[in-house]
Amino acid sequence: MTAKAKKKIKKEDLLNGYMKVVLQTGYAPSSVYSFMEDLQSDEAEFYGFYSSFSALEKDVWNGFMNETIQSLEGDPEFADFGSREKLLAFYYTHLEVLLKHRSFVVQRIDDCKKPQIKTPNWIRGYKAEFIDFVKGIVNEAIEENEIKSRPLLSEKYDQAFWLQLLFILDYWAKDESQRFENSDGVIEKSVDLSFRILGETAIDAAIDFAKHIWKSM
Amino acid sequence: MKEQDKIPVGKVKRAAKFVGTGAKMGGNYVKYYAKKLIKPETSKAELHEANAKDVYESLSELKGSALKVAQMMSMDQNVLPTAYIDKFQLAQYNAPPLSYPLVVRTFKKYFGKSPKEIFDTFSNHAVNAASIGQVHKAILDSKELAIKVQYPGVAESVSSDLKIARPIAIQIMNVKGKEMDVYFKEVEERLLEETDYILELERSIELTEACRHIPNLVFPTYYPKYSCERVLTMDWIDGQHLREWIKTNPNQEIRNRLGQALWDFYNHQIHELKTVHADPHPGNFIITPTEELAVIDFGCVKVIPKEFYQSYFELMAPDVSQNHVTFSALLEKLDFIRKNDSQDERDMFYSTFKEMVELLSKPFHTEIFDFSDQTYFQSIFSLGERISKDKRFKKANSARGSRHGIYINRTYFGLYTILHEMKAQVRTKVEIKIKKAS
Repeated sequence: MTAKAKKKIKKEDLLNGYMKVVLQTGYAPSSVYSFMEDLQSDEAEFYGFYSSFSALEKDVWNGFMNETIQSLEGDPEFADFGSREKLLAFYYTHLEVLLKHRSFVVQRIDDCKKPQIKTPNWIRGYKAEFIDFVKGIVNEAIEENEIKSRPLLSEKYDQAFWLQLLFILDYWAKDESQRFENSDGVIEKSVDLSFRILGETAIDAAIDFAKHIWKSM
Repeated sequence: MKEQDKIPVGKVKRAAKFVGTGAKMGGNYVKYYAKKLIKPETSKAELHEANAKDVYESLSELKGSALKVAQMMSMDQNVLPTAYIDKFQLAQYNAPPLSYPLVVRTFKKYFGKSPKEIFDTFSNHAVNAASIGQVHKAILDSKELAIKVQYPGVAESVSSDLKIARPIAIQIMNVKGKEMDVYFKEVEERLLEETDYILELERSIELTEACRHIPNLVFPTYYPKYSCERVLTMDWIDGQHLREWIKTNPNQEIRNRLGQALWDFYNHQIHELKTVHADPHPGNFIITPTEELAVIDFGCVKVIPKEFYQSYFELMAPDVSQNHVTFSALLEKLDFIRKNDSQDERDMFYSTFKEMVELLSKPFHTEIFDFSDQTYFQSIFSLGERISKDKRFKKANSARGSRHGIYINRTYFGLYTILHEMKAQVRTKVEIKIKKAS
């Protein structure tokens, strides 16, 4: 063993080091041992924070989500927003946060699309955090009568917004417009569309009408 | 969509008007195919006529006698350029409002701060719709400001939107697609410029400076510090929109005074600056509480090429139309008559454009022109109608006139219309200075 001075490792060093390796090689580091050696530290140090790379990556994504939500909640205006504006503000802020790590995010999104790869672990935590946040917005929207509460379906609304988030991320990853303006347009329009679909629509009236005919025939 | 309540009723109505026209045109197609089933010889010409009529009707309802001027001013056998431009721009009004979070995002992208951090107050909701964006009101250092924010992606969509509108326009006008390209290009260029707020800022400041001396005319101050590609900041102008003001039935003296200011403003731009605010739409003018005319939008600006200016205004010079040789040479120069026209076509175009030019340049040769004159506008209208119904014109099947004419015609069309709405009497003669060709 060489007698190198070992640095005291912090959590951020692990997160940043990990992202760096992914960006440079396109893959997670081959082993915790080599990863820590590159950081001039011991393998044991790593386990003080995480049990595996998978757990670490989960934390990276949770971090993106937390940073977004914290910055929203730190904005005094946010509390006064209606549900629709809150969701829009979330998406815009989230893209701002992700912009700082765009290469990493784009690479991970591309990886997800490779057929041989199973749903990666990090998505679960990221999704859980988002669902938790968006549930609050859905409830608020129902209270504000912006969207309609429907038996059985209402519980799935948060899932629908999760799909919307994935769609937006995918679009943003491919967006080639200046300053990602097209992504802003997509957010604006897709949120408008989703609120209109989930709000009182012609379909509700159609079902109601059909029910009436059915009963009265 | 609740935000759209904020758009001035006029604009919503106008947009609705065009939706109605679209529906009617659809109806015409249904009628056409139904007729065709029974009577296979039903011609497509009938359909075009029906379509053109509906577009035309809805336009004339919109602008009163305006359109008739437009038709003339465009010096084509059809309304095309003006109708097409206006229609396209109206389509823009249908864009839904930007949400407040998107306004914040835009500010953060360009200024690194949210609007509430920059200004003392900032309205969450748009107070007005601009053609490709919306206007917010803000206060900074107890000064009221109007802040125009552009929809994202408008610039990118201009070209694709034009492509969608192209076949419709060609169909309505019944001209060869290839001939239209040069006009489409002109329209596209102007529209793209309109999406560039940095250019608009420069031009606003320039034109404002160059026209400041004109009496009874005021301009907002522009603030480059709070402007960028997507945001334009200027003074908030209190007052009434031109149409509202007309409704208050102001006395003739004020009508004339402000009409004169408007005329002088355009005259100075066209003849001295050779750069003109090519969108004289009533919505771009505000009458201040001190009874001055404020100009608030310099989005659409046309630089007039020297050569075009020469031929165009020589055409308008007094008595030029009496000289057959000079006049036909000018018409040829401006692409109203073409070398490969048959003698018949030549004669037809010659006599029509002669009548048109004489009618349209009338204010230029009159000491004081009364724009409230119904018979004048009526005669323009009937000439326009005669041309649009003339089978020979239809047969010629081509668009005429220089591309630069589109926006100059549009400018005069807008100017005449506004002055007509204002019922103003204006000193029009003295202002016209036509240099003889060297």
